[in-house]
Amino acid sequence: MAYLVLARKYRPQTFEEVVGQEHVTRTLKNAISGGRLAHAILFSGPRGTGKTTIARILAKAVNCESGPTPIPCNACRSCKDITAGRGVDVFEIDGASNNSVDQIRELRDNSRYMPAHSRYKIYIIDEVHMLSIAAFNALLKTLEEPPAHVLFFFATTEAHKIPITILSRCQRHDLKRIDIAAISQQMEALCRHEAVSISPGNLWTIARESGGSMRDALSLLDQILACRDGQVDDEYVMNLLGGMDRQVLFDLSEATFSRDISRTLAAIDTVYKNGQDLKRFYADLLMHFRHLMLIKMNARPDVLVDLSPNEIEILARQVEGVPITFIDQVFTLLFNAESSVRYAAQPRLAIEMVFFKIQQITPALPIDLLIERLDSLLHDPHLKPVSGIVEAQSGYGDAAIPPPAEGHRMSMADDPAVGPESAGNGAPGNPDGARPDDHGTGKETWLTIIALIAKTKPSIAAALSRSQLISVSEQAFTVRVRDNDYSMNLVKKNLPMIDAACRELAGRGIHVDFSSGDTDEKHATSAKQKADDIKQQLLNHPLVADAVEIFGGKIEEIKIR
Amino acid sequence: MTTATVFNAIVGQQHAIRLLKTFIRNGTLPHALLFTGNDGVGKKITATAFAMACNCLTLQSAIRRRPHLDAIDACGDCGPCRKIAGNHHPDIIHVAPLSSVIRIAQIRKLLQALTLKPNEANRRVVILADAQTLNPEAGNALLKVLEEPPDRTLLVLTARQTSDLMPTIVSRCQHIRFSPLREADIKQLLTAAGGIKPETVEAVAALCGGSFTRAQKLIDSRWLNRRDWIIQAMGSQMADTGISGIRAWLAWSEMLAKKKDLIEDSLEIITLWLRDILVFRTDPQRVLNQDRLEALSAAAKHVSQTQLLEQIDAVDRALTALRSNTNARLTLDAMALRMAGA
Repeated sequence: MAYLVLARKYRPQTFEEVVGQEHVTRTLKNAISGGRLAHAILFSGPRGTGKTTIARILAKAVNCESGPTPIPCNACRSCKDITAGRGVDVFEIDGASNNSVDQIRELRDNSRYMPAHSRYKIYIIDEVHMLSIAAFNALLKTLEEPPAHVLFFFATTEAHKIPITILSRCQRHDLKRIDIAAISQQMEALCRHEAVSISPGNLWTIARESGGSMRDALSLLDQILACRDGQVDDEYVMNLLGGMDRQVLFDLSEATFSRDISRTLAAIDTVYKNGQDLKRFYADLLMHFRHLMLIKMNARPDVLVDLSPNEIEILARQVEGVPITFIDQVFTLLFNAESSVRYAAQPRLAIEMVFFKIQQITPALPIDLLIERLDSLLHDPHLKPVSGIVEAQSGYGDAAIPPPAEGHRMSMADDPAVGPESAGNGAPGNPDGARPDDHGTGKETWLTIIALIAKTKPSIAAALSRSQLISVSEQAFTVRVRDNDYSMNLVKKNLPMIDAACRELAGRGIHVDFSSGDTDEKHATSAKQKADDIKQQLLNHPLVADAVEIFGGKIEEIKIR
Repeated sequence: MTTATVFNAIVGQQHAIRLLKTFIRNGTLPHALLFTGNDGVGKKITATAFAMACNCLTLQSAIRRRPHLDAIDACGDCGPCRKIAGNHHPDIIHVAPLSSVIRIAQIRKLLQALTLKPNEANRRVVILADAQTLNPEAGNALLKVLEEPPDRTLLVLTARQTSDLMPTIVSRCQHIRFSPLREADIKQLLTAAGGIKPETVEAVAALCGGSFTRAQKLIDSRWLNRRDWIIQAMGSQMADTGISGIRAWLAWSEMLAKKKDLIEDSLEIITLWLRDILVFRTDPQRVLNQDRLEALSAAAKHVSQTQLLEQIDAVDRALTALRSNTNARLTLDAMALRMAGA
């Protein structure tokens, strides 16, 4: 017999030998002993976790001459035939190359006939996700209610490609990735079998490299065993597995932290000259920086399971004194550049460029430190660089107190004669309504005058009610007409009449101030101007600009209170 | 395809060949091998040499005496060796992409052929070149046979990198890495080809990135002339920051756009050059355009690192855009403007 690779030579032949899938094997064993085995079973899971293997063992278990048994004998004719792949009643079909509807029709037609000498006719369809849609649909009826002597076992790495109508007719078993410890244990057992010795450290490396797939691990082990010339030493294993690359990773992170671009370039060069898959290397690099970050954050050790204690120590030493924000910046840059590296025509150049960009990073300060500094600036008015903000802030406060309307009221409060109607420009239709009447007789009289005038000349009264009473003296009312030209002219024309009315009622003349009608507006606009200035000042303030840049935000609104 | 050679005549790749020789000597030939490495580093030629060594009659009789590793090689003289070298051995099956894809029909044909026993070979060898071009259907169809091929059959897949392949394929193969050829090896190969000026050999060996195929392309004087023109043009443009500089950049992009089929090459030259300027400041030894160091040092004076990174970005974007079929002239103009910093 020709040489068989380990993965084939040591393919498990009983459920007990299957590593790391107890949740599936125990269920199946119990199903067999309880006589409750489903007629259609789907195995899904990543490569090299035992889908085809379990399907074959299951076929042996149900067809074994010593009755359906959880432990196939591996000695009877049926078991031997299945192991050798020539069982007449077990059809192992490659779903990927026999994926058309015609082939499924043929299968369906043949399934009607009784098995040749076994209990069941078993169809194992591997890579079942590659069947065409028509083929899947042709299988539906048979899969739902197959003849009593037919069992279907499906195996696939991509269960998501299978139509739900098929999925709902199958009992599904998901296989897990095998953990590193289980893989290395299994390899240790195989090594004993093969009478070779490899250090547990190397086995661990191989297991980690395999990514949870037993077949990958055994392929690597095979390669190592096949080339052994005597002793299997660490260096050889490392070399073969590309274990050197891990050293490069450490080099690279150290060079990055010390901002030594020429060492970085050298490291990348080494990887390239080794003929390493640069895209894969980049993925490792991302993982490496993730580890660095986790270690810097003092993560629990169980999230770092795939690192050896020695490596953790080295990493911890590297991140010592490197601010976490810098690691974060590097990691973010690496992560964002991932797609450009993946699609680059020359991945090496792409990776080099990423590191040039990393070299340009100015280390950011941690947010809490920034806030702390801001706080200290705010609380310490003597600090020179801060005076800018403090001034701006106090100016802000000053401006905040007199917004146009309120400022008015305050200045009016000084002058008890001024009525509140001036503030809101009065209520034209309701000159003597329910206004608070707390400003003495002058005000009251003036209102009575207006009411009187309104009886004879409503239009003039309206104009007057919109005017502003500036002051009331012994001799005269001083009134400012600050409405439009029309009311001004109206008042001007009828001034003698108004004057007469005043004299008659209150014994005072009237003095109307036409010219300064818009000083108030000026006051209002100047306040607005001031607010705008403050806004502008705030916008231009370096501190604000810095905040916007650091947080990547934009200024939505400035509120002045 | 290059004419077949035996192991010992292959330049470089000592590591990979040593591994293969050990397999043969110990009789531990795996059923599926995956050769990965850049284009033009000798994967296919090694695969053929491996097929010869597996079938060589002389070697078969010698192997029982467990010869030294160096002595394990095809004789190149016996029947099978000649047939394989002449590429008409019935049991050495070549599968290569037809118009850039390997289709399921090709794989079905292969599976059909593999159901029969080998004609005469001691070991039937299937050489599946550029496995990264397998389309998903074809790749999946190959899986079963890749895991458990028929007796006396061996599959050799070649690919650029494992990440281009389905993980289910990679996991079924023994993986052998091919490193880029060393500069000395390339020089040796080029000198052996003959008729090339020594200084060209030097320049090309540094530029080709360890790929002999690429070196052969670069050796073409047109490529070198193009590079010199680009370097020279960029040098003067970068120095001129005024409006006339922008005009020069645009004229330059027009020139670039004229030769449609050479655009990608040109952009690559540009990227390499910009990279070299960047690297030159920190590490002159790692520069690829080793023969143009003075021009590099002159160029390095005019631009800042940020600017260079932006320019490289611009070229990169142009390349992506061109691949998705944009108008070449407009894309290159936009690139030139960005590079000019306008």
